[in-house]
Amino acid sequence: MEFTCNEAVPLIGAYLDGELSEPRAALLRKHLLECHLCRNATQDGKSLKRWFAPAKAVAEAPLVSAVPNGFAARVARRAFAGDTGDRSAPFTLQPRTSDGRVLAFIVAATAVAAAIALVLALVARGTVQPTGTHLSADDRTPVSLTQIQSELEKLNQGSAPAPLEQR
Amino acid sequence: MQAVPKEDLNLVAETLAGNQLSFQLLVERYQSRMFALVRHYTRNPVEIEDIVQDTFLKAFTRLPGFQQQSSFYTWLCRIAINTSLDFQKRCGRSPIKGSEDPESGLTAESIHDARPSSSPMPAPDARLEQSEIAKITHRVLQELPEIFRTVLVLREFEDMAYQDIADVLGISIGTVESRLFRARAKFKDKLLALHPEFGDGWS
Repeated sequence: MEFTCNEAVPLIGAYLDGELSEPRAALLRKHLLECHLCRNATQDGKSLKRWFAPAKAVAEAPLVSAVPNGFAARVARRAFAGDTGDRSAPFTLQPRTSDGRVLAFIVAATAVAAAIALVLALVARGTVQPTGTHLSADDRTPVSLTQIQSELEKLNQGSAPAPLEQR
Repeated sequence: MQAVPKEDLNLVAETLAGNQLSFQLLVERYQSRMFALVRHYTRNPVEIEDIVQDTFLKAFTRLPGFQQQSSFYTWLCRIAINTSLDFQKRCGRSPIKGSEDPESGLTAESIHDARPSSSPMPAPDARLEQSEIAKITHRVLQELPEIFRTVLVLREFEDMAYQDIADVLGISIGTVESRLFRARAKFKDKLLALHPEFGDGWS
């Protein structure tokens, strides 16, 4: 069996990569001895590899320092906190304890905090009640509707304008 | 196929048992290589960090389903590449698509189509600095359709065996061979298109 050029050319890359099985490599070598066009294609493959070797060396050099300090520890913490890395869904805290103790603690702590806040609000409301007896601009004493009506009536009686004379 | 290092397996087992430090050690072991791999999909350092972080977080989530037939690194590469491509899509950056039927073999027509131009492939000249060669190579890679760029990156930068590339991409070894053949032809054509001066008696 012998290779044609169309059979040989696609195998040259694998041959240079050392990935061709020995029977196929032997057939390719035989073809290369007889075909200068395919020998040129082999030289092309070698030239191409020379573009990658320096690029690989240059790319690798700065990457050791490109990894931020503490990266691995941060990723491990996030992983164990329940971050799945799936950015199509928002990250939510998922307790990893099987009995849900962490979740129960968070709910209980929130309830206690809310109760304390309510008590403090009630106490604070009681302390700001004004104690004076007269109305002033900054007096926040609640005034009833009856009191307002009474004040208005007094004002009307004392300074009511005279009725217009009819012509 | 690479044998699974015993230490990786131990760390995976300990992580699954709830040991956070073991997972941290796995991340430390592969973080530099993941940063290097993802760098072929974006040059933005913040994006690279986000993608690598999400890669490890996804790996942690999927760890119970890790098939130990392939190496942890190969498995991680697959997640990293998919995460990189998903990230590009979410940012509205569609990678350049290459037309290829993954299961098709190489026909005489497809070999002819994929065959590089008649100009010889130029080798980088000794006058060029290493950094200049690297810059040109990365620029050419960025211009290639994603499927061809990925297969070249895995082979030329990650030194992966064809079987490992097949595992990472979920394709057959035959498809790896034909995809690399097409990728190299396209690399040469794109190099000469971007730098026609290299084709005129450069070397």
